[in-house]
Amino acid sequence: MIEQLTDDEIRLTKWFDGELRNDEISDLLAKYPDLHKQRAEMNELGGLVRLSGSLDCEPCEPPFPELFNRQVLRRIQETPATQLSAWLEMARDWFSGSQWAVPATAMVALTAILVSGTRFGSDGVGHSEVLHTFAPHPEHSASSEFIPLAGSTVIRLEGLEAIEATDSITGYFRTDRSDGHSLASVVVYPQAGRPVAVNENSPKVQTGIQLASSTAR
Amino acid sequence: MKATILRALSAIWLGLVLGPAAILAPLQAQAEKEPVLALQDCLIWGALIRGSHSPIEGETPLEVGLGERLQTAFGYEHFLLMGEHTQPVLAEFASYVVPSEELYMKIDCEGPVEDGLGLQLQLWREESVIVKTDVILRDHSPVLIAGPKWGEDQLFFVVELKLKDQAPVAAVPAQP
Repeated sequence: MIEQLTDDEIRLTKWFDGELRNDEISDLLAKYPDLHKQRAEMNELGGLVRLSGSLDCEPCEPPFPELFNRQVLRRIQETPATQLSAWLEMARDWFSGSQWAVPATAMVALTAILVSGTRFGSDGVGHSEVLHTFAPHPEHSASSEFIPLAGSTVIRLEGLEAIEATDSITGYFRTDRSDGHSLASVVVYPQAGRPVAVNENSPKVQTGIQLASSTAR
Repeated sequence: MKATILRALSAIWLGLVLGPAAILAPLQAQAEKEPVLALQDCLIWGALIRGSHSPIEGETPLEVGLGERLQTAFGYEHFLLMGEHTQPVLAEFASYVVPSEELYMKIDCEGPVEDGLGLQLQLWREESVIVKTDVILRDHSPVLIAGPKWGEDQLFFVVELKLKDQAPVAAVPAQP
């Protein structure tokens, strides 16, 4: 049974919904002066609800979502059980659709397994692979590709700030030895690329190696 | 009746084919993915190289084939090795390849993967990371990273897996 609304309740609802004219609002408020306060409270409450909703719905991105997703996908794809279950799932779907599909599926599965065995049994990729690349700075972008002609895997970084031609760059030439010490030479290149200091055994460099290598993951 | 028999035969055929495959495929995959590299034999070679369209004073030949790779990939004709560093790979700790004060690389090793080495690389420019990447590094296959421009020239960071019996000797820097 639906309860009938009174005229005042209908007017009140219309007012809340913004459907009353100004003169009708004046009449209503004259009759119920407390409605102003109640509407203000309702608006305040609505604002709080919207704020709460917006906070809850705000997207929570992990720090490196692409990296995370890529890693998960790669590991799933690399799992032999995943590959096999995909075959079986596909065969089951086909089996339910047609009785002739089963022998065909079996043949396809057998062929695919043999082909994949042949492929995996070969030398594989043979070159270095970039599984994922990511530039943390919002204005930088990174992309990777394998260039067959160059026989090289390449990472291109776009948006990097250029180094001024007048700024020098310090290069080191060194090889870490098994006894923990290193042979180091420092070359400082000024703007013209002409070294100003060469073959300098630098204590600074040796300190740098020890410091860097002792950083735990 | 005929359909039932056919369906039963098909199921038997499917079982005969996929049954052994279900057993053999994981074993085969596991055998194929057995790492062939020993971590203690792996070294990471990192180099900072300047590429230019104009001749560079003090230019010396790069490691065999590297100049050609860079030229084909990026189009520069002249290169100068500005620094290089060879570092053993550490399993439990991060290691750093620092051929330069301005550009260097942090390396976290994920271990041998098939015929390569799984690595997480971070290329740092002074105090900030400019790229993070997951790679499988393989012998004789460098990863070439095009870094920042330096005036009209370009800086490249090259990282390559070396096995210990072929570890490079530190290059002699160019004389002024």
